[in-house]
Amino acid sequence: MELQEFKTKVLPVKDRLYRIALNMLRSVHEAEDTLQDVMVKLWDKRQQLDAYRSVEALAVTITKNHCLDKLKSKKHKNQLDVQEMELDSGFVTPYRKVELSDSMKVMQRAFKALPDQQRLLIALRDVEGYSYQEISEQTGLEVNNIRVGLSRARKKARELYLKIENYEVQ
Amino acid sequence: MKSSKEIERLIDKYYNGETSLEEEKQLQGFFLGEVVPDHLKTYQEQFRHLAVTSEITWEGFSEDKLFGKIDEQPEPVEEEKEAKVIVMRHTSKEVWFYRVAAAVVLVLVGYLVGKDSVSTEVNELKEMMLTEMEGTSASGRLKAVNYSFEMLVADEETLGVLKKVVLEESNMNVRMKGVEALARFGNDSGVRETLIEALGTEEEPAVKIALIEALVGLKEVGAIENLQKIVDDEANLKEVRDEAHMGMFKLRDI
Repeated sequence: MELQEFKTKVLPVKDRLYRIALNMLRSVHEAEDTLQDVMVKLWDKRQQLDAYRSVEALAVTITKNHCLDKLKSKKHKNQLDVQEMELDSGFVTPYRKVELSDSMKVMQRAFKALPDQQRLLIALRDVEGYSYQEISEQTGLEVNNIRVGLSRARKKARELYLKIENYEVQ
Repeated sequence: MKSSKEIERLIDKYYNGETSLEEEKQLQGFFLGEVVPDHLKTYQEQFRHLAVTSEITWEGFSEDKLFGKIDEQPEPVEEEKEAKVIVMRHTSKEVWFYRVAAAVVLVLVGYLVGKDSVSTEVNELKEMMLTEMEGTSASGRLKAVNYSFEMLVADEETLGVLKKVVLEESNMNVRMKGVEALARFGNDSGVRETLIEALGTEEEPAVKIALIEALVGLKEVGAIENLQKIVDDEANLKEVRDEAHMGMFKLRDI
């Protein structure tokens, strides 16, 4: 695979990868940093890309792994607390096309507060609309576990949302 | 437009992870629409937020920047194919002396550095333990006790904290963990005394059993007297008395 092919096969999925990284890392800055690395990695692998059944699945897997590594190293250094994430204005900017309503921002906080794995599943299924089979290839999880994880993530997001909303009304 | 009964059914399926992609699209379409009945309004933001998120693009992306970065990558270096020939030379006695000396120094340095880092690690653990112990929540104190499991040695202060847990802690789960934690340092005679004392005063059957197990594990013959009391006291649960009886049997055998 050479430059032209790389451009036609890998670059079209860049927005998807970016959204996944953004949902995982919750910061524009870090998502961009990480994706640069992912892109370079994909470029290095360009000779072997033909051997993969789906370049997209491979790209998603690499993105996921890089994000998890980053989260791990961050956690190791110092536990990121939610307060700190709030201050990172980074996450607000990607939405600049639309002004987020207050309750939408509450929803955003709820999604951001989910555990890593749950954020990943929401990003893959509810944002990107991948099939269970595809998610299974990307994450190595079994379909049944994906369903269970998603169910938990969706419920948890709603629960957190209602909690913050009620709290702020009082 | 689907009836709200139908939508409610889909919502249930959605939260149980049972919807198909098609059904998820229907839900999203419904919640992005103008008319959402009041009783379903609280679900709306979740779907709207997902819809908005799915439209984010990587605006900061630039091909130039990416390929610039790719160009900076060092070319993978070809490994040297030719095998190197290593000449074995005859070594003089003097050289051997220095080699041995260097090895001794290395071992010493390793020992000293290692010792030092181990002790700072233990100190950190101890600090965390002491801080958690001051809290009012039982789960915090349980965590505190758990920290001690990472320590290979414990100083007087740490042992003091654990002894206090075994004798005075109000929550039985924490107390039980405390017994297990303290028993790890059973070489200390004070620890053994504390466990024997606790066996005399403890009320909770589960903790009593834990204490019996710990003392028998430590082969503490001094516990026999208190075990006898437990066996004799009919107010105790049968399980506890059996355990105590077994314990006495094992300890007498030693």
